[in-house]
Amino acid sequence: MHMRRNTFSTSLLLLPSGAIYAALLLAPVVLLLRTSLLPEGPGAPLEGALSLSSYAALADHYYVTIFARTLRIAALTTLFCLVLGYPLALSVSRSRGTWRGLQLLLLVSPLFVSVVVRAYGWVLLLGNRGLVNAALLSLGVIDAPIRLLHSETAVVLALVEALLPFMAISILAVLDRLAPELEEAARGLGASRLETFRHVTLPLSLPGALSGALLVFMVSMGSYATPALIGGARIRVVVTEIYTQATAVFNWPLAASLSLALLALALAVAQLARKLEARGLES
Amino acid sequence: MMQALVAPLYGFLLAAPLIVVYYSFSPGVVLEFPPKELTLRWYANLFEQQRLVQAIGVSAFVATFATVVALIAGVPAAYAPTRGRFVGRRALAALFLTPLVLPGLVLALGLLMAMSTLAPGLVGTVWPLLGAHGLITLPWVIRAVSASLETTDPHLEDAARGLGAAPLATFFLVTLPAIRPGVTATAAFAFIVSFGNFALSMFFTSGTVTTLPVAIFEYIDQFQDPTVAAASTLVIVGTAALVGLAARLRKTELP
Repeated sequence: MHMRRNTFSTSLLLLPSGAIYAALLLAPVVLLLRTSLLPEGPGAPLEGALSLSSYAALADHYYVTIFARTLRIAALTTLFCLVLGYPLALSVSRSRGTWRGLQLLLLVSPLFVSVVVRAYGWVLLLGNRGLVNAALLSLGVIDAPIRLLHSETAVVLALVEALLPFMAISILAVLDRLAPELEEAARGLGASRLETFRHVTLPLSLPGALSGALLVFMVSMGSYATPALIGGARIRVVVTEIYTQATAVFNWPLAASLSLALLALALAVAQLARKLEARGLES
Repeated sequence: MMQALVAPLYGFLLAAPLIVVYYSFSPGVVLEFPPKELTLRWYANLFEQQRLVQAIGVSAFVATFATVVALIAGVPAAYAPTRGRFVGRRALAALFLTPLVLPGLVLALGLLMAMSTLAPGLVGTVWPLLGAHGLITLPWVIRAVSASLETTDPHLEDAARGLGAAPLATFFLVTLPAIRPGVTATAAFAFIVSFGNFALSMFFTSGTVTTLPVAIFEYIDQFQDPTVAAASTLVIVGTAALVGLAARLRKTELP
């Protein structure tokens, strides 16, 4: 009797959130799937027999290039976040008191600024009339403004700035749980600082780095504002292409198949990360 | 040595927001350094831009609505897995977090497709905007409240129940006061997440109803002057005030 009441109250507690997830998460994914199975084409009328034409269209060289670019940008962003995230996380975890608090504040404060505003900041820095070009011109390094914006490098730079806090915090969460005695023991046994980091701190903090890397990879694959504002029409990624197909070409089936292919790719990456983690735990 | 290494990294993290703030005080349209003078003329211009001013109001309304919905749905949802024992608890916790990793634009496109098939009457209204923002703030609330619940002692609730308090009374008189600091912080954070979200709103704004990030995006596309830098600076100041207020409330509430 008690058992049944318990189940009843649990379902009641989950009812509001369950309704929200069903209506606003499950229904959209189902409708994406359904729409992707309609015949594709510009201004496609969203009717007709089931077809896989919107998936077949993805094999076109144009879309393969876009997927490859999206993966390349996400991989580079993740790599730079890993390399820069470690010193940040180590620095916070080794500080105490006010300096630690200040660093944490500096680390999370960019997260409170809208992605659009931060992308705008990069446009102001890297644009033709931006600060970097102005500085180079006045120093006489260049004669005419050089193109810094609308490049993959600029997109990666802005994404690294946007996602670095996530990586640093993810690594920090693991570093803070490590017993300081482990590093002290290694040092006491004669290991140098670098050896201690390489053989003790780094391997033990890898789970944090891996979950941070997964998060950064997924979010950079799915970001819209940064590639749209900084990459422009030249640097097309999957998400900006989805937007174009949905709103300018009115090819909803293709927008849907692009979306689902992106989700499948994200799931595959998450699965790979899980495998890596399992292997890391074994060894 | 470590500090010399990380100082440029913090500079890099803050460069983009700082340049926007700096540009908002620029006398001319061209970004100059060092500045000849600092002006507030773009702030004055901002308040003549109907669309931007309206967008600030819309974003504030949407963010408030989303936060309230996320709290009403999220607090019980966080309570169920931490206190109850049932099959699929872990899977449920993972499922709760999915909106955080799904690309916002893909989610919004799916929502647009679902709406035009299942509820065409809602297309063009403010409801999809409110729903999408409620969905994206919900996982943050569930996660933060779960973390708060895990650090409180469930025996306190057992004691209240043992003394004859009804489940609802126990929740409002014992559990909620214990997790209030976490709830305050997550409410502030949910508001900020919704206020700054861009990708989810793209498909659901119209000529009259638009959120601030979308209005900023459109303005940058059409004009090149520091008016949106002024709007962004006001948002940064407002956000800092909200974070400070939440931190103060947290402190005063702690026993």
